[in-house]
Amino acid sequence: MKKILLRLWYDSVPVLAAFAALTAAVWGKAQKAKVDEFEKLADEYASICVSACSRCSSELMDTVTDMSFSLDKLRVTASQTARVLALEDIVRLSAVAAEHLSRLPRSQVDIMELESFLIRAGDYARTLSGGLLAGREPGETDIAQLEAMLEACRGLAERLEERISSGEMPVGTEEYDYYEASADRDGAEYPTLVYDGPKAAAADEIPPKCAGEPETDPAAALEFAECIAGESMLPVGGTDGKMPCWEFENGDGTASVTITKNGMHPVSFMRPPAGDRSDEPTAEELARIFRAAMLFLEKAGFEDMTPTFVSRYDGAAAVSFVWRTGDALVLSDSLSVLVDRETFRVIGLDARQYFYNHCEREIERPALSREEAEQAVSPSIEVSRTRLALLNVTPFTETLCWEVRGDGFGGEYIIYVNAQTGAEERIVRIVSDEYGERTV
Amino acid sequence: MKNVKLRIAALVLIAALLLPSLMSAASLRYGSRGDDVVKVQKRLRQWGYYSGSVDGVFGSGTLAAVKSFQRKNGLTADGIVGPRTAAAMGITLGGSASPGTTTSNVYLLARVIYGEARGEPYKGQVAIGAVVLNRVKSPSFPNTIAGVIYQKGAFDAVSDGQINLAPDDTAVRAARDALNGWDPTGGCLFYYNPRTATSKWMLARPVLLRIGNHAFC
Repeated sequence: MKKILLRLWYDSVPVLAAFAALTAAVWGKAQKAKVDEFEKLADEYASICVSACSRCSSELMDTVTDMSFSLDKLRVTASQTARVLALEDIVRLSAVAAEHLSRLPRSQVDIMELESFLIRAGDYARTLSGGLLAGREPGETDIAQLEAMLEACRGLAERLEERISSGEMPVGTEEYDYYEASADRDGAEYPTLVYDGPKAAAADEIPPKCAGEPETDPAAALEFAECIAGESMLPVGGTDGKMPCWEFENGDGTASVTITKNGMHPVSFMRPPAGDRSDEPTAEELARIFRAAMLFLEKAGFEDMTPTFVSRYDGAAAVSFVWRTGDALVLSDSLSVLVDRETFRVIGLDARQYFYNHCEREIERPALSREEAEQAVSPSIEVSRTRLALLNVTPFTETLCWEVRGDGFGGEYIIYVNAQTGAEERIVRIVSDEYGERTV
Repeated sequence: MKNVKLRIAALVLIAALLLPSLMSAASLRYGSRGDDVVKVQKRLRQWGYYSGSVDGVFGSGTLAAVKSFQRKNGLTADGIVGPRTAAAMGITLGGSASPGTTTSNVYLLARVIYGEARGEPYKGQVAIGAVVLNRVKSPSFPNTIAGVIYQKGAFDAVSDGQINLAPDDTAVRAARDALNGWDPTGGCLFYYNPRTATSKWMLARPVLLRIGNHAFC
């Protein structure tokens, strides 16, 4: 019996071995198929990436070349219309070029200087085209800057072409290789464009209005922070930069207050809300929210603040305020106050923009009457409210406008009409959603 | 008495008939079909959990992907997309429209905050959102939130995939505070963790403030 079993065992060994080999072969084949599939997929992705990057590189070069053509045409055209159209072309092309650039797999550090140039070129062109439409001719500085832009675009297009034709463009390139940064450009520089537009380099250099005020004693700042927060606070350091501040926190770090080192102004205050209500407040609740916000602002030393919009989220209502002087709202002197929906206590303040811009202004008399301003807007708008507002049309320019609010086409709009010329300076759409009102 | 019994029986019957449809409106499971399944498949595919076709059919591939997503995000791995899982995916069930641009931006910002700064003080989380928004305003960066966040090398959370984790409530609130204008950094465009940063370029920038483990500049 034992012999028979032994024989059977010996006979079955080759069969088992063959079976195991077959199983291994089938498994191996399946694994190989999987690996092949992944490799194919990886190759496909790599091919897609290379194609997308090559396309972006080529289109960046084409767009910058087109910018240089538009700048070139701008030099020779005598027609006002053609000049405006050429400038608007530059606006469009600069945005397209910046978009292509941002899609390249280059590090942000690598491309930020070039991106700034492209964006500012468009911003500058828009400023010039707006000026032409308003009857302002470009000055000598503008003409010199347009020439510099043309040279920069030509040089950039040439360098891009060289890079593309030599195959240097780009997938998975090394980070921080300063591809278009000054260190690697054979001395080529992008011109600094001096103008008054939203993205102008000079706008970054504007100091806050409170910068020249006397320096704050840290102990006094702590006392003021405790008054703002309504509890004991501890100093936790400070910040430098354009608006240096002292930072304070309560014992468990859940509340923080920031006070400017110059002038001792409350820049921000934040603590978490008690609940998470985000439903629409009733009229009575809204009145309590406004009352709490106004009382807080008075206590914190703010005067003549007018509420504008209310939004709500995560248990808090955020009330936006702007400063009023005389009959006019000063829109750049704005701040927001957060009120807890459960307790109606103020739990937040964001007044950085207010203290950055706030100063006394002389408000001129409007040449246009309220009625004339209302007649200047589209007849499709049914006007609901009109008031004077000082609008920051550029970083360096504020313009007195009539703020005409009204309904039309199923939406609500605010139209800013220049109070001296009657020109439309800006149109804002009011969007109401589950979080309240906001403007776009 | 007989009438009362009949009424109760009728109510039970109606409830039994309605329950499946109510359940299916509130959650998705193996065998579900429709636009909501498409939303789930798209989101799972976008975040790398699902590689099958987006066909609106909740099959075994979708089930495995949902379970994997739930495991990775600390949810019960039951393979059912209920309100919690849907919220973690940033989608709304029940045939309503997909979140609008603003909601999407809040959620995207919350994801980068969660990926970059969970565990940091609340103020530090708002600061990360503020840096993203400061870049959107700056001419040196793309002018959209998505453009800034997905720029190459801009955020580690994008490079290592942590941006695909579902953000917690704190990160979402921090995103809303940042979008509402709160900027604890006072306009900073960069930040780094001094213990882990290696970029000489970044380390050479003057630090304006520190919050938690991050230096802002």
